[in-house]
Amino acid sequence: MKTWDRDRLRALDQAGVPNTWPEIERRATVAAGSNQAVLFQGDATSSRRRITAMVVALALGGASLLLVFTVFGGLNDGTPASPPGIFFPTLKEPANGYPAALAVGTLTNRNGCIVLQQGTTELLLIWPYGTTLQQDQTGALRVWRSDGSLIAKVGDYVNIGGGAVGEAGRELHFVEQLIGKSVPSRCWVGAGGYFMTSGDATEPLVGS
Amino acid sequence: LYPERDPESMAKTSTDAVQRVYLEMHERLYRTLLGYSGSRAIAGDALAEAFAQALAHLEGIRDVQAWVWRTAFRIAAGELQRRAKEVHGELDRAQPPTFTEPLDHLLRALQSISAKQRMAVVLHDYADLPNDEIARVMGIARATVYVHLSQGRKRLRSILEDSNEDLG
Repeated sequence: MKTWDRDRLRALDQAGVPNTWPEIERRATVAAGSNQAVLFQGDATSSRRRITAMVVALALGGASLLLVFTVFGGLNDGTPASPPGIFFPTLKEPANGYPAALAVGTLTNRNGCIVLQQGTTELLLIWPYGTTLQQDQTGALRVWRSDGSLIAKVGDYVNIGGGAVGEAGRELHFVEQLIGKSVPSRCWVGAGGYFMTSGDATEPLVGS
Repeated sequence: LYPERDPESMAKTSTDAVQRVYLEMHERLYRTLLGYSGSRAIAGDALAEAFAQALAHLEGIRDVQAWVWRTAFRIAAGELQRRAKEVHGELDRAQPPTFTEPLDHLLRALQSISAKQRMAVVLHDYADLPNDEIARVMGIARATVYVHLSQGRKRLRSILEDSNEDLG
């Protein structure tokens, strides 16, 4: 019986590789917001450096103010970083633990609400504190943990940890307490309910 | 207030560190992603998005290189899954990739094995990633990596040899 020759894969060396660095810088600027734009000002003059430092100082000052308001519950709207028009609820403060159930479905943007679609029912997901939703230039939406690691992309079929929240008939009220803001009526869910997720998601791979 | 901390130079240092990783490994990562996905678009998008997110979230990342591999493959896997659903499993068949031989031949053979087998084979036999890292990228146990690798190699060898005989 012949053995496997890994050199067969060397044919991949034929593939031309595009220079994606400019695109990476552009995407990173979008992802990080205006306070990170200074990352890519290569040969700045001293004047530009001063302006940049001012911008950074202003951004840091703004971030500090936001942090103060967040700590005291003043400005926390549960959507720390989500594209305009999309409701992406997160816990208003870090949680000590999460329910250990599992929900399976397709992460879906339904009318500006990120839900887990399970056939004809859907769950509105409540994400951990610090989770963000970001949109790239192709319109793709990705959910990121606060440490910068990817949870999932909207459209993915995922298994996600967590559990339903709230007692029957009082779910919405409970959810609004958890996230510190109102849930827009377009995002109210019926039979599915509200699911507080730990953000631990796995996605079955194609063909597996 | 903090004269020793220059935000611009700190930011530039971080960017330089990521750019060094990019220069060191982007060709290998792109080609490995291409072997896995069979698509230039998916490979390029996954690579660009992973590095962009690394730049945007650098403070929380201990090992940029490992993080980028994991993130890029996770993005590519999700995109493959999305496309497969959209076209009901007819991924790329309507528009077959136009690569030159023997690359085209290899990519078609790779697309004939399962995604996990394909990922294990390209990460191990092309990218030379350590087994522990492959297990982390794939989100499975190290022992399971060996199973996918063994089955993938076996199937791939069979497919490539059969097609070589057809050509001969």
